[in-house]
Amino acid sequence: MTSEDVVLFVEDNPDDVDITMMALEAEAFPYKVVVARDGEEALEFLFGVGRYAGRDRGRAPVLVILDLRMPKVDGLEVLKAMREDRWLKYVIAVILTTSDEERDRVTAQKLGANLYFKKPMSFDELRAIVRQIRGLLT
Amino acid sequence: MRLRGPYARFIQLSVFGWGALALLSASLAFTSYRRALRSNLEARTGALTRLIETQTLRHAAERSYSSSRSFVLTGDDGFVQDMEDSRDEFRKASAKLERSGGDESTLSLLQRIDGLESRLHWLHRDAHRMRRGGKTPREVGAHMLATTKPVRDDLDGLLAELHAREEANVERAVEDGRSAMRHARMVSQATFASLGAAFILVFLLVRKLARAQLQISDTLRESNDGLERRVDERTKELRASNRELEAFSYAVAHDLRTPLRAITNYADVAVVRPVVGSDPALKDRIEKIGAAGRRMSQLIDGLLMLSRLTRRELALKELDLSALAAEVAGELALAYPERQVAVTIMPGLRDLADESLLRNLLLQLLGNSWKFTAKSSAPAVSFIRESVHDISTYCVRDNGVGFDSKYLHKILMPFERLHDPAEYPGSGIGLPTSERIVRRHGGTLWAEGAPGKGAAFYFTLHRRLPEKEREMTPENFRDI
Repeated sequence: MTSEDVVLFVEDNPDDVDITMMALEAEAFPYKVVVARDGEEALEFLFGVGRYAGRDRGRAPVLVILDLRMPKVDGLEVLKAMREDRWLKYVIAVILTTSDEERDRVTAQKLGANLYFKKPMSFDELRAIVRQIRGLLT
Repeated sequence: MRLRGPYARFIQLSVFGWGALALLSASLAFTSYRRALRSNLEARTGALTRLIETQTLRHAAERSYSSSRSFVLTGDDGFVQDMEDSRDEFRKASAKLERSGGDESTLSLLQRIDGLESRLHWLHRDAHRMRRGGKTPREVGAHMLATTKPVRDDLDGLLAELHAREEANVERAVEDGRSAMRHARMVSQATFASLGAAFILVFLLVRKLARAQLQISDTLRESNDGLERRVDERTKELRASNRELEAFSYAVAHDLRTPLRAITNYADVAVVRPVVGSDPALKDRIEKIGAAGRRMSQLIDGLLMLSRLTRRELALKELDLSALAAEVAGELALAYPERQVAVTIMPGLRDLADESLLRNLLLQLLGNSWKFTAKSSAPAVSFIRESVHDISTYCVRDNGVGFDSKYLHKILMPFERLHDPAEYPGSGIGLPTSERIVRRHGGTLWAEGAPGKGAAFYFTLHRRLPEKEREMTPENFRDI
């Protein structure tokens, strides 16, 4: 881990961003977290274009937390783009979504998601999820 | 061409009927025509024969007379013989004529002719005796002329009359023949004309029927096409509305859960803040906000599942229900490690069912038993199969708190609860879900229970059981 290592958190709902950030903080998550408010912004960050033009895309995030339903570009599209890119191919992807539809789960798995979580209704469960995600990185 | 349709039989019958009629009429006409022809031929032949015999009579009479005269002139006995021969010929012809019939007057005419001929013959022989007696031919000739002339004239007159009669007969026979022919021709013409008319009628009828039939089949085809089209349209509409419903449920699930999650999580975060911790009443209320939110989330999940069950396609396959129940019971034992529940599962229960739905069903029913035996001294749950009115019926039974049968109708309704949620938590959606799963398998779910005596949930697969046959004896409860 270096000070440059970042985690990309892609989430369009501000409440979910707020709550998840609180959970990350509560669990003393040891990475800098960059928040993208939708799939488009996530792609711009990942590929160093648009708002993130000039960013060294060779420095991939260590992990991407993806919501599925988002305006413009959804989480599955971001995941697909990641898995087709040689720099991002092996970046850990965690799906954190409202949907517990079987087909979303299956599609995410097929596209190469490493973990799939349904957003929990309690803060304790969210913290447990954060702990699991952190476990992937150590 | 093969006829089909409501009139086909009738059309066939008409055509065959016409054919049979045509054959019958034609053969009748032909027979009558032939009969007429033959009888007329006989009549004509008979009349002609009689005419010939009549001429033979006249001829023989003439020859007899001239032979007689020749003898008188020459004295040659050969002429006498000639005369006798002619006479024989005459008598033969006369006998023939008499034999061949004829009317009364003709017969009497013949008798008179015969009489005159005999008399003439006798006169000739008298003259011959004179000639042989030595009288001169002149004397004898004069005598003969004087005696035979009137008789001969009479005989000739009678013969002429007979001839005229027979001639008339021949003419009549010919005329009769003509009229018989005309008649036969008329009959056959009439026959063929009526056959032609019948043919035209049958043709028109058949054409009309065939057209009607075509029209009917066209109409049928059109209405079939229309029906198929409508079914297609309905199916499409249904699919579209199903898709809409699915999208709607998805949106509801997503959009209702999102703010709810904010409520519950923020409540959780707030509860642990020191400022809240220092105020127990506030802390309690904020905790209640979180609990209410989570409960609502459970309801949403339950409703979603219920709606998904109705839409999902069944994936039927041969299942080992005993193994499935054992698996579910194992999961329940793991989920409630503090509970000790005696589980009895009848081995070898196999049936055709959708695995994920059956797992869900068993989870609901066994889970219910687990939940409602929490206060029993020796919790026991069983899963067995028995025959109720010859229908394989599965039963999940427990010795828990049971329920009052008078509320039976309520437990299958969504969100209806018979027990205090604080005591026995639940969404109130489990049994309605179970009922729907069973119904989708073409079966029936029903329950029996008594307060404090446990509950039994029965279900059938692939066959429905009418209400009146769903009976359970109270002893069954004591078996557990």
